[in-house]
Amino acid sequence: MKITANFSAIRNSFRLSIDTIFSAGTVTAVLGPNGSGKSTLLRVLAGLQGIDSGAIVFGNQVVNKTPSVHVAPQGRSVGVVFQDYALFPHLSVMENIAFGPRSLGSSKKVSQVRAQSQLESLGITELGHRKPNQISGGQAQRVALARALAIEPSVLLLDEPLAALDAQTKESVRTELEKQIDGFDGCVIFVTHDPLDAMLLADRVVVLEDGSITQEGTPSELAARPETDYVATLMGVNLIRGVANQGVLQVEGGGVLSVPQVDLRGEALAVLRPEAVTLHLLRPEGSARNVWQGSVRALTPMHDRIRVSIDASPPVIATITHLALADLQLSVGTPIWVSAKTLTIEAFAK
Amino acid sequence: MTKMLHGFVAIAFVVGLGAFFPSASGAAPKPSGTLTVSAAASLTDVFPVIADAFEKRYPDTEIKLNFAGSSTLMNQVIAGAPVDVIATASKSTIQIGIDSELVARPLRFTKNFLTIAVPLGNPANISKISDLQRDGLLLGVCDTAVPCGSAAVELFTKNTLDVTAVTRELDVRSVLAKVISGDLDAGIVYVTDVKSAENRVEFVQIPFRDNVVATYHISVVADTREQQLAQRFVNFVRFSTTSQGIMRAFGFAKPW
Amino acid sequence: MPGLVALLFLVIPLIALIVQTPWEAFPKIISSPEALEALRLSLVTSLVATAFAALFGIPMAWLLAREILPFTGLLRALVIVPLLLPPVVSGVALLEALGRRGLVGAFLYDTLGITFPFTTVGVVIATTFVAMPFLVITMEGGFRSLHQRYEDAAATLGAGSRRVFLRITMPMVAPAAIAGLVLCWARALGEFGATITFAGNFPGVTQTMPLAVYTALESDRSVAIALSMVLLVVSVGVLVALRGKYLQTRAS
Repeated sequence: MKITANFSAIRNSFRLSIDTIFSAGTVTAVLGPNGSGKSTLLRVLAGLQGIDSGAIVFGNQVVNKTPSVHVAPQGRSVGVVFQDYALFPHLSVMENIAFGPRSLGSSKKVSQVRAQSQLESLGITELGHRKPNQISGGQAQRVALARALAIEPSVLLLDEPLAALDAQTKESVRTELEKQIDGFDGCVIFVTHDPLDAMLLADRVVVLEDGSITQEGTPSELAARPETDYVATLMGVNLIRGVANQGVLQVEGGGVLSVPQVDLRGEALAVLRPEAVTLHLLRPEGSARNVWQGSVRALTPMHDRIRVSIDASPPVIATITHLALADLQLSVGTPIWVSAKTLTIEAFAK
Repeated sequence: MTKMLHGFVAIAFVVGLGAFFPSASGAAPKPSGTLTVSAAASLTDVFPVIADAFEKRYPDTEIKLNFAGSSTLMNQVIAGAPVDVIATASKSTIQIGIDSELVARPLRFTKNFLTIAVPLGNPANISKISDLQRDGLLLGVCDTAVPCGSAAVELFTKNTLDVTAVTRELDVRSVLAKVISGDLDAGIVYVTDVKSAENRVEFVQIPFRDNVVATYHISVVADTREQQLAQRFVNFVRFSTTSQGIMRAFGFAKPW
Repeated sequence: MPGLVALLFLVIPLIALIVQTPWEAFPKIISSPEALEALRLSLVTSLVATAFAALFGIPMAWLLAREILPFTGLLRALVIVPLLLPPVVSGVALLEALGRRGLVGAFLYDTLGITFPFTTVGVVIATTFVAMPFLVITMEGGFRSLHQRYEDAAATLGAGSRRVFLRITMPMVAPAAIAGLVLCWARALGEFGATITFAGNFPGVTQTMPLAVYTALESDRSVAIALSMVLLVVSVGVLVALRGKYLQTRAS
């Protein structure tokens, strides 16, 4: 079932404007920083919040259309997994999962059978009689998913599905989630701020910043061609803006870079991976066309490398090994030379 | 020496005697002090006027009035409330006080008669006392614990009436209020109560021979610290033309 | 130290009451028809009043907590008004509204022949009026502390608003509901001023226990004390019976 969403929703002077399509059978990650409107988007799609203009269509059903159409959550075929799961504390795990089918009219017997099969497919049969406060975080996530799937929805919405978990549990649950999502044949939309979730679980990523979609594409497209600073930072690459002409990029704010895309003209973005940037204490000799000078602004250790932020024209982030750091004896403020081979840069039209 | 002593003693004797016989020439001290007077609810309108008159006659005095149902007032005295004078609507309510010697001999000071109060327009068309027996009539009386209530029972017995009230209020003014508001079709209250609510209520007179009289009694409380002033007040209420005149104006009957 | 003073302040009058109770005459007094009548009337009217308060007050509390209606602040203030009024004034207000010549009462009497003063229904009206605010306030607090998330989840699972309210919202605010209902019932049981002003005082019809106590006070003080003791025992009995519930909810 395809979802067409073209609307704007305003709440407390925050405006969310969406114009996109979620294709049938796909897994879409809505990626964005806190306050970007991701949760609002989810609530609107679930029917928990209304829109102020535009329309939303689920398959053949118009679920939102101003001014008069607003299908309540009960009337939409959506399953929602909330952040912190919202499991009903006074009901057992089994009763939680059976709640949906029961609400939709199934008899107690049938609902229980449905709940049982969900528990089995998620490998948590033994939890059936426990209360939500007697199970772990990872188990709760699975129960929440089972509860949403029990009503056999056409759309599955997940709000930061892994955010409430510790690092260790996240790994196993993410793998588990991937399996479950694969088995689900409807449309899956999940909201996250963690790019790893998006990269690993999604077919398509929609980037939401400050209420608007700033980029859409496959995870690899995003990694290769980030179009905003936010995405670039997430992907961990350098994003440089400027005006291109015959292989030369005049960098906005100062500096010149040689890029391989000679046919490119006009406003452009260039991506330079931190791993492709080399650092030198003295001006380097060699084939690299891009050589410029700056000073070390910050050093950020990561588990197997060091991120070096450099003030220069253009400013740039480089990653080097611990060994290299020791050799260069870098510290904040050290003057440094930066170089990057033309071929390591990819420029594209803005 | 002895002559001077004789003279001195003689003068002292005369002056001393003078203190015992306050003369009109004003050798005695003027009455002063504060009195707390508990009075029955049906005296709510008349007693403040009488108290005012008393205070005007004796400017250095102050009368504090406390109104409630007669039996409540008596209970307060029994419980030790600092009351100097008590005035009730019947002798029986004050009887307990007499038995336990908490009050001095009660003396009658006025009389009141019962009447049937009805809302303006007399919607239930009451014309005589036997009309009160009518089915479905909303009649209000006081509870038997209150003088007005036991008087009402006496009234019905005396006239061999089979009457059922819908409420037994705890003081006569509550009965009156509900007649005025129209929530009751009729209420047994005192003649003085309807007189004080002149424009807001009508009444059906009960013939003298069929009526019940309430004799009001006043008494000085034994523990009072103002024995003289209390006694003076009691006398004023009972015998002064001012007081009796005020009571007549309010509809109370002569005490004898 | 102030806590101890407060405790003594509350406990000593109760002890005095127990000491003054005429224990020899007690069985005879409380088994008298008037006493039993008053007790029956009190229990029936207070329970019915609590039921009405729950029927209208709980949805009202939910509307206030979720701020669904406009001018929530104003509405809340209006609901609380009976809490601030002296009970007799509440009685007067009810007469002005529902008495035979009242704003609404006149219409009811003239067209339908219905009156409320001097009836047992009148007692229920008076006690509901003064006791309902207790329930509304307690329940509103309970609803407020309940995160919207659970009701949202239930809605997405296909439950209509009634099912959400009955199966999810109410069970989750059960502790607050119990506290509110008990408070409301206790207030209804002890109501005097509004009852006597609006409904009057007649044994078997409108003379609830508090009215019986006050009436007895006019004639026989020891009877009044004995009746008060009955009220005390009933109230304490209920509180003790619910004590377990309170402790349970504290633990969870």
